[in-house]
Amino acid sequence: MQLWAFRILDGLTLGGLLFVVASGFTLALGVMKIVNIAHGALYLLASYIAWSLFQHYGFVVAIAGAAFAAAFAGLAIQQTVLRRMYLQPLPQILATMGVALIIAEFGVIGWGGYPRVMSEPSWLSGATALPQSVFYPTYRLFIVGVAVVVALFLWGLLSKTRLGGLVRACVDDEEMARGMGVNVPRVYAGVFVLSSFLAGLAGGIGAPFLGAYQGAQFDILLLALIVVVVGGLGSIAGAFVASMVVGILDSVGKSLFPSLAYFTLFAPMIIILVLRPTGLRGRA
Amino acid sequence: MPFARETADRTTGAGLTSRVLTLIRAPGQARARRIRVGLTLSLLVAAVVAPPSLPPFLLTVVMLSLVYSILAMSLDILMGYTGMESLGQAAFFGIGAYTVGIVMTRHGAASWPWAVLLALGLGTSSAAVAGLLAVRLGGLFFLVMTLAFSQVLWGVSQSWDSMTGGYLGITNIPRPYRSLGSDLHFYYVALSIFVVVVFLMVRLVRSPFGLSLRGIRESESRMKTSGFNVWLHKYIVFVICGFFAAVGGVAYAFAIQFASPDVLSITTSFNAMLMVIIGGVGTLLGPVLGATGIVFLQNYVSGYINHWIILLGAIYIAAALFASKGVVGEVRKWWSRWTRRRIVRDEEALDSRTSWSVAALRPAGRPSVESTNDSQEAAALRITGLSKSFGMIRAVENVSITADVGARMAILGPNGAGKTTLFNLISGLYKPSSGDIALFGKSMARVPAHTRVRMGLARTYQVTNLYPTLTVLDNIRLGVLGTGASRYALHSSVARLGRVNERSRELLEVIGLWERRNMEVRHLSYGHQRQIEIIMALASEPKVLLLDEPAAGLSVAETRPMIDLIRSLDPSLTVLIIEHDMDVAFEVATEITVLHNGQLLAQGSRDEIRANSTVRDVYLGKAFA
Repeated sequence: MQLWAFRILDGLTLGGLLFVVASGFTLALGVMKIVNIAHGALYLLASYIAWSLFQHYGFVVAIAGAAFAAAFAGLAIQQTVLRRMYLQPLPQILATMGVALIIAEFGVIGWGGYPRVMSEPSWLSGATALPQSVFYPTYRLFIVGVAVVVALFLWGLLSKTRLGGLVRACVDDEEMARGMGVNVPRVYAGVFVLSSFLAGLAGGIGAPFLGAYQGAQFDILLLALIVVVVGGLGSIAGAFVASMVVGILDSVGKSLFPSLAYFTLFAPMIIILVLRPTGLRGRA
Repeated sequence: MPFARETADRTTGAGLTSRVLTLIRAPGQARARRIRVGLTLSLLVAAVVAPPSLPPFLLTVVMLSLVYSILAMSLDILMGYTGMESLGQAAFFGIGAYTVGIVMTRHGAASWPWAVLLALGLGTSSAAVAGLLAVRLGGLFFLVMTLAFSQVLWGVSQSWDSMTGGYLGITNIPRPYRSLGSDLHFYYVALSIFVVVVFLMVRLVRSPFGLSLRGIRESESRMKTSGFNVWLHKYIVFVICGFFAAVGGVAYAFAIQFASPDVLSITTSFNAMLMVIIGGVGTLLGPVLGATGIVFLQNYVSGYINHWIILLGAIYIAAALFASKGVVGEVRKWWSRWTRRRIVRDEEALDSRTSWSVAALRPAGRPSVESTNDSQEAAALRITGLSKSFGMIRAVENVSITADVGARMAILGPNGAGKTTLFNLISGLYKPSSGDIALFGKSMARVPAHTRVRMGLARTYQVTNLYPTLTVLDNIRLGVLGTGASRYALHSSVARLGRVNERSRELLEVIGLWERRNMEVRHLSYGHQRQIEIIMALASEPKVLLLDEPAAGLSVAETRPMIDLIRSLDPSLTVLIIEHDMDVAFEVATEITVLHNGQLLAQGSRDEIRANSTVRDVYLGKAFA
């Protein structure tokens, strides 16, 4: 019983982290139709940066620095490269693949080829007592908390603010939004920066949990892809549900069928796509 | 029925075919062909003669180039020819390589026939499974689905240690015979595989099926309404390309004698795509050039600079920014600029024709519709209580129309009346919310669009919907092929299909465009494109024809030939025509149906409609009478 509680909680932790990454990914996809292959690389870059900053400046600076560094990198990518290939999926994919390779290789140059695992801050280390006398690592609960905060923040931003209205207008009918005087290029730049910021935030809080390692750029990308396909392209709510489902399936699947880990993720994706080709919350 | 005709024609049509062939070939093409054949032969001779004198490392790199060329070409048939951008082509390549590795290391060199068969079988069947999931998805979903599929296999290859050797992969894969142990000897095996694959792919690309792929790339909706089962064509080509990728994987495993998760990784899929794009999308030569370039860079440059991956990343970005046509595309552009002068001169010599050789519009030997009709009562087209809603909007509401055989019916109505939606319902692009559509008494409301074409329905589009970058002749050929039995043929060349080419020629001569058959259709004038719309619809030999504003956007001078063209259609053909130009509508049609806000407002003869006061108020305006 307790073992199962742990597995579910592990799944929720991974799901929470996934949501923070995937929400950024799905935002760029839904608003700008960009499959940002470099999303995982931004995550990795942020993890490395958080690890370095943590050595000297502590946890809060490390997380904030990581997130803002990724946001800045995102802005640079958007302004120098992606702006020139607006609504051309294939060039965007190729270019972001190039960016992903370059970022990951700079990771090797700057931080070496071996994994860098950041320590947890002292105030989040140890375990917290949950009901039914389950003790669970505090840091992992923190990750779930961050995910919930991010979800609430995005929901509020998109549905309650003027800015969110502009974004939704661009998703729905970019041409019309342009015609109504919305500065679409600026909205796009903003969305891409937010998307990169979320990748960076995830990289920061994920640094003590998964660590920064070569290969994370594509591991994280794959998980984000599955989340987005299951949840529906561009849907934040769908991404939240899908993240939790994927997280729990991954955690339970790994403990039950250790050698077939990816199948346990893929099978539900197939089932959902057969039943609903546009994902849980997707639109045709 | 079409099948019987075709075989009959093919036996008698040999002389005809050669006549058509000589006419089809443009003056500049013969020289281009000679150059191409010469280049191919000299390259092949070099590939056979040179290797013994090459240093071993260079030989390995050349061998790898051949292997990756197979992978890249298989991707380009999907991406460049069909327009299906797959990010998972490495999956089938990797399955091929791993299967060979696993079987050969466990069962020894003698098991190679089983290893190869199993590898190709697994590669092809996994493409068949992945295709079922991915092919029906469009655009981004297809990209994401194929990427996810290959990533999952990559994950499995890493975690299934006992089978795949985990991160380390499978080493020392034996080659089939001891004598093939030398790289030089195996090189010739790899070269043979490569040559066979190229041969098969060239056949595929030039076949009617290959032409249908290019049609799908250009316009899926037009393909559907020309009688092609678009999904099936895409699925078949996806599986075929999975097979070719698996062939590449098999060659890889034997060539390198090693398989690791790298072959399944996202980088392999992406590198294949990079090779295609650098070399030239939509050609078979391009991927080979791209693959050779990247493989050489990868193996030589990486020895000289420490972080060659950064250079590779830069190449990706540069390719995305600048290489829209690739090497082959640039060379072609240069070539066509060089030969253009002659083409322009030919153009000037052509007079544009305004009178039609009408006879060709009534295909000889086709029994007239009346005599094939089993029941005289059945109307050509009967629509009963048809409705279509988009969310809250009722675009078409409870519309009933009956058109008799040979009717000429105009459908009028202000913008937003539901006219084009009605045509989309009849042609099967939309599913009706309720109601029924029957063609000669047979209900077809639940029948897919391409089957309706075979039942005798054809349509044109209000917004010109042709295959812009295909030639005029290929456009018409696709129209003819859609209802022909040879549309799935993989073995024969389109250029040698006697009936299809002869029929295409007849049709093009009707509108006087035969001389321009080798021009890309997007370079024709708008008026000519509108005529091709109609001719393409007629190519399927329909019994009921839907014309959606055939004169839309035409100048006065262009409208007259269009009216003549429509008036000269076979009298037994049933024609429904949406038209805003009153002159056209009243001149062409004898019956008129008026739609307003999705509902039927009035039906009757020209004079009845002219006299109808409601219609005048809603549509014609008070001044009209």
